[in-house]
Amino acid sequence: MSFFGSLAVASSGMQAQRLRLDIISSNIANANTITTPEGGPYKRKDVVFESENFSKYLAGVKVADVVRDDTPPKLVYDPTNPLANSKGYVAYPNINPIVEMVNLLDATNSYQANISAFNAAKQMAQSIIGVLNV
Amino acid sequence: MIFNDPTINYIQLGMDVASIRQNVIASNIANIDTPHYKEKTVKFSDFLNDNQLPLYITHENDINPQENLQDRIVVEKNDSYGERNDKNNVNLTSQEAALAKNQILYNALAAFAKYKFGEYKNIISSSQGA
Repeated sequence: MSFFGSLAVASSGMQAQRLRLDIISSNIANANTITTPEGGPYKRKDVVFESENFSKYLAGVKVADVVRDDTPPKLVYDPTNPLANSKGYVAYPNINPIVEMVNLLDATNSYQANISAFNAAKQMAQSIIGVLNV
Repeated sequence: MIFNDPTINYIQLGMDVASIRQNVIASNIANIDTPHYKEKTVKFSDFLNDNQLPLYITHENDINPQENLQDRIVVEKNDSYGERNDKNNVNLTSQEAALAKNQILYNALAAFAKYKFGEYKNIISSSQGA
């Protein structure tokens, strides 16, 4: 039995959470972006996690997809804005900063949980090497 | 003597279980945010209670704890609904506790193995002095 599989699983978890963190920070950074190259306001993005079997006992995680949240944009009345529509409304991204902050905390927690699993496996592997130094 | 000492085999069996359990716990933690993932647990200590692993009845040479080890270890899936909307029921707190417990078990077994080998080393070195 080796611990390398366990280390691989923990790092797959860390990788997935880090990508999630990247997506969340883009969402927060673009909370007020009203123009994009595709046209229209920025749309919130989210990751889809999927379990991936490495072997009989090992299930890693991977990011299966990054999906766009197509809920309608927030309309803010601002007739002086050059991007306002005929009724004076400007479309802002469908991003709720509170939701993003909660997801951010969740991703940070999960990342740290993966680190602790990684450290446990590393320490166990080192303890068995210690048996050689009788 | 050292080659047919069942203690070493038992230590090995225990360590195998602990390392499989480590793998399963790491998988649970990695999949903490995966929708529809169900928590898994390694059941092994129950076998000792059920007498399915008769570690005590036979002659030491008859026991081969390595035999069918993979079949004896059961990974159980906890299919309860849990309190989350994404149908994932991994409990991070209990997983962290299981991780710590398993780590201590593994370290204890490693210390015991070290002690066993130290014993044999003592015997060998004392016979050389005589």
